[in-house]
Amino acid sequence: MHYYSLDTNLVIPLINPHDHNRRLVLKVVKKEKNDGVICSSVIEETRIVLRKKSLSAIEKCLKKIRKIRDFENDFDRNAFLIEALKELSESNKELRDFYKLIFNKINEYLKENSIDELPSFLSEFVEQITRIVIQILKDNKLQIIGFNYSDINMWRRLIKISKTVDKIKFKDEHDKWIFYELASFANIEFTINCYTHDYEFSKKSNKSISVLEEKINYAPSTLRFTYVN
Amino acid sequence: MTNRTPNLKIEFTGRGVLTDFSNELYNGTITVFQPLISGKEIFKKMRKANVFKILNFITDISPRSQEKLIDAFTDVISVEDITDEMSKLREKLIDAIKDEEIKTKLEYADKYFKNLTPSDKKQIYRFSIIRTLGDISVLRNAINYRLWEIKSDIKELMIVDQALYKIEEIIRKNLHNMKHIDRDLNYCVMLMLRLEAFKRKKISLEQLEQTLSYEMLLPEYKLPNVNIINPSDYGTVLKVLGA
Repeated sequence: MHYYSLDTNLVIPLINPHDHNRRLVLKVVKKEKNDGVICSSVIEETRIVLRKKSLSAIEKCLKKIRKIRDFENDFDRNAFLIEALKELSESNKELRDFYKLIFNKINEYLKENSIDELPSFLSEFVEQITRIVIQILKDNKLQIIGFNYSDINMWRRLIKISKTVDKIKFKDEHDKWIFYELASFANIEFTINCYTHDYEFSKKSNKSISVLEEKINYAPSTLRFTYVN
Repeated sequence: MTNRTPNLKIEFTGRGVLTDFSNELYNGTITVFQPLISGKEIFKKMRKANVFKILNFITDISPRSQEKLIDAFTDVISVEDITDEMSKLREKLIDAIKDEEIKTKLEYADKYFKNLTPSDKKQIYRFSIIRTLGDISVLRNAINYRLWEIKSDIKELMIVDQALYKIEEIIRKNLHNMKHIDRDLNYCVMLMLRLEAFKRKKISLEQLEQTLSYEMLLPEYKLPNVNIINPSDYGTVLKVLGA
């Protein structure tokens, strides 16, 4: 069976509808004829990134919109919010997609609620966004894979793989474990093509696969990383 | 009227709220830890003098003894990886109590509670949940209003609030469905004590934030295939396997 997989940077746009890579990932998912799998390391990183970025965006938003309580009518308040979103997006491009998400949530909230409890609502939103990950993956027919304690053969395979490529330094622990996990799962009967929006990660991973093929007879074409832009 | 400089020293931080509302935090923690406490008045009404006296003793301990009790509890949970502590958390907390009188009375309450009929237990749990929800609501309201202040430490207030929100959600769920109440309350005790530990500067804000990802300990938050290990434990498994 052939499967496709997605790196964290392509799972986040599935969760955040305002992500600038949303179209890109939807195109990939739509185009793929094979079934999709997501490794648990990607899920873990997704949850961490979602929590950190939404918290960071909310922190800056709240600072910026403190005066919102002074506005008495909806028109002035909305104009103030639009201006604040514009200024924040220009000041921090990395958080732009999250600002859009947060401002959208603020707008939805204010339609039916009083402004006083907005901070509590935003705080709850940070918790909720990390919980919808699994459901959205299910909605997109992406199956979750990961290690369990009893599968000794899989652990042996992981140890062998990690020892063989231990000289290749990945950017961080998440990248390392995403590679190890996928490399351990992939085999002749379970080939995986993992899409990523991180060029360096795709390069390093494909180099690691070459090392595995050369040193431990890792079956060719069982795993590959495809950079999409 | 003359303009006067405010004298109140209010800290607009998560730690500030936990300190200013330490009664609510303590009451919430002890009620979740020993639900029987919340039914104290019922035992009084039923003229169960023995139980009432013991519960009264626990709730009326001096602020100094409260402080010592929570200090001992927070030592247990101020560890790097709390996952190892979870299965025997209750025993470890009881063991950590240095004051023998408090320890004996809490153990008595434990035994008494265990021997209640399932229906009585359910009622007591409900009392405990309702009281704790009240305490959490006070803390969360205080946070909400401090978040509007110019001097507020938004990140810290938010992280403390998220821990409280998580406790609120878990215990509220048990009002209707008590299938996993012991496990859920155990988890809430851990979260409450992590907040106490943060208040006492025994753990950092980053460690408190990390606690929020321990939701993986609860089956409903776990990955759909229950056998899949949390990826953050992969390194530990490899060490055990000698890799």
